[in-house]
Amino acid sequence: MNAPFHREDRLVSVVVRYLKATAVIACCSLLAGVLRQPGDHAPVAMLYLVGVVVVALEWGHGASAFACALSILTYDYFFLAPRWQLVVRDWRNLLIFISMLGVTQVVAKLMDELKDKVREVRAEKARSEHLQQFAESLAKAGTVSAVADAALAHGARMGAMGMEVWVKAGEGWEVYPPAALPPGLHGSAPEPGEGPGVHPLWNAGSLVGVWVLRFAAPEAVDLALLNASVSSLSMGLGRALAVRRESQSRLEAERERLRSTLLSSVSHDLRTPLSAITGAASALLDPGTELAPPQRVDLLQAVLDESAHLTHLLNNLLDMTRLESGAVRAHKDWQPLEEVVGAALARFESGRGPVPVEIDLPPGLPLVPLDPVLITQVLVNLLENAARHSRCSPGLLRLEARAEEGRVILGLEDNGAGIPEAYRDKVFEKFFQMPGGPAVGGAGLGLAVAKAMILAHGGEIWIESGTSGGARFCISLPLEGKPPVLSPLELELLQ
Amino acid sequence: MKSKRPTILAIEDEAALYRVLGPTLESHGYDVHQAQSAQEGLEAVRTLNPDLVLLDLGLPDRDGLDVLQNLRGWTEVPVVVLSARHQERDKVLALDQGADDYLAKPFGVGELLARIRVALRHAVHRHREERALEVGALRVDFQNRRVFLSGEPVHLTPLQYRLLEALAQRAGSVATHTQLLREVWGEQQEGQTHYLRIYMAQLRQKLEEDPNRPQYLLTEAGIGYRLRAE
Repeated sequence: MNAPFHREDRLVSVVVRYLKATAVIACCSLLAGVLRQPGDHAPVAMLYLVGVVVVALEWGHGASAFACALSILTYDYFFLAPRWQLVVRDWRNLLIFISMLGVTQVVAKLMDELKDKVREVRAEKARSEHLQQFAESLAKAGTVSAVADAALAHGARMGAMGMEVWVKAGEGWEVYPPAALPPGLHGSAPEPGEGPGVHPLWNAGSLVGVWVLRFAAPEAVDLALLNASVSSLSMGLGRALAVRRESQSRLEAERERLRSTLLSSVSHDLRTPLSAITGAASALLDPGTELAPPQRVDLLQAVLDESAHLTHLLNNLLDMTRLESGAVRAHKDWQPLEEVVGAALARFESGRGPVPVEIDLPPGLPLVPLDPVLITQVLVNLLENAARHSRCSPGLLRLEARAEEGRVILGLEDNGAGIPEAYRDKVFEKFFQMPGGPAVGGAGLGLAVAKAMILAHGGEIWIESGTSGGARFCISLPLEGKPPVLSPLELELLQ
Repeated sequence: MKSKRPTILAIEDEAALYRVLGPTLESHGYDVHQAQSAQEGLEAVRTLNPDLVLLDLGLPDRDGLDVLQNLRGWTEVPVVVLSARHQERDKVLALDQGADDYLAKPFGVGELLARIRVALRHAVHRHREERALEVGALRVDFQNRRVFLSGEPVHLTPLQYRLLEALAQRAGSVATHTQLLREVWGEQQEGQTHYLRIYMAQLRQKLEEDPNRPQYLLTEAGIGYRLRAE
């Protein structure tokens, strides 16, 4: 704002100003002396008038009063009869002169006021621009930490050397920037009066935060700007906290919704195979029911099949729970894809006999860092899903892989009805069932589990259109790091 | 005097499971006994001297791995561990600590009988050198160190043969990565599973008609490999 003053400097600049005023009047006197005609006082008076006005413009009210006095004296001494003396013969001229100078004093004073007003208006303008900027950045800030960032930036613009924003969070306080103090929730925030620059932020009747600012020269701070900023910040912070509360309750509502969907879905999907098992077993045991041996075998097979169904459902549920609780880590090891493919196929076929699956794994495929247990599960889930949806048109499943820059892509193509683009993201959601699709057991979790397991590898999973109208499920796994290589000795042994 | 029927001790606390195991195993010519806790089980092994032990890893009073460690301290009785899903680590630990094989619940009776058969056979032959193994079109001649597929000789490098031999000598039972690395590459290479993978891939290339759907060299994800025995 203003440079710091010392008493000395002040005195010096005052003296300098008055010296400059003197110089101006001296110039006027010289000019007057050169230009004057005897008895003609008007031009001389005009010159002094101009001089005093110039002094007023440049150096203010005080200097112009001094110039005024100086002008009167020099006029009297140099130009009024008798010349070279301070005595005056005709007082009228002197009076006229003095009154003209009086007018200039009024003008000077008005000019001073005008200058002050202009300075004030400019400062107001700068202040409201500052505030406008702050208000805009607060409006853009969506989160509490964005609001704090805006406040920190604004504080810096106001000249603060250091600051913190304390935000009330439940019972304790959060501090921004987080590095300023030890992390975690703090018990209490600074109170106003604990030091200069502690500003409480009130919104809707409650204390939402505290803004602490440290200035190098506290006296030089624009208080009007600071107070307006504090109000803006209070509102902005209040709004951000309300948004946070709202999204938290939305999350909670979503969780509740999922929980109840889970309960109803699980209860339905558990009951279905269980009722089939109960029905079959009780029929077999019922003395009144006559069953031929092939029928008995069929019922027993149904018991086994439905149990497998149940097992699959429970496995998916367990997987999903573990994945969501973060208990699952991908323990990556460099593996050839053919091993997980082989294991997945073996598991897939163990319940249902051989299924026509065409496999295309080019021989040059690199080793891929993956968790064999998880990826086998992913492939099994994809195979199950493909088989389920190809039931109407039992067709060939095709599994292929290719290597790209930095990743390996696996694709499983089925011969079913395909998946419309609108659903290609939704099918990976928990409990999602395609409307109009076959009623499926497994509670719609198989794909959600597969997706979570792929994400745990840092990979991606998506759906494309298959070449024959069906769907192609694609997985990409990143190839990070270098696969271990055999030493030359070992390579030799391979010959 | 030991009866001619092999004795199986099931250390299993789940009554429902035993309800199936008992009659099934009996009908296949085994004498079956049950112990419902680790304590009971260890006692029973001492007194019964069974030919095979089925050990559930989820016993109520003691960790199944503890029981296994204890047993292996003084007996070589074949042990097949029964475990729940998602416990690959436990299965690997059990196998590395001397269990002969594992079964994941829920399992079918066919699988159970196959594992028991294989474990009993290996126990009998443990101190007797096998001469050869034949499964499907594959024949491994241990004495002459030669391998044949449908009668045609297959050329394997020394390391490849050693790996196949390690699997063949316990054919039907699973071999963990650690066990294979130790037997084929030596103690120092225990952590280098990538050697194993590369060589297994080579064996599959040489011996399997479709390496993506192996008939003989089966992969047990997260645990190890198994050579089919029948």
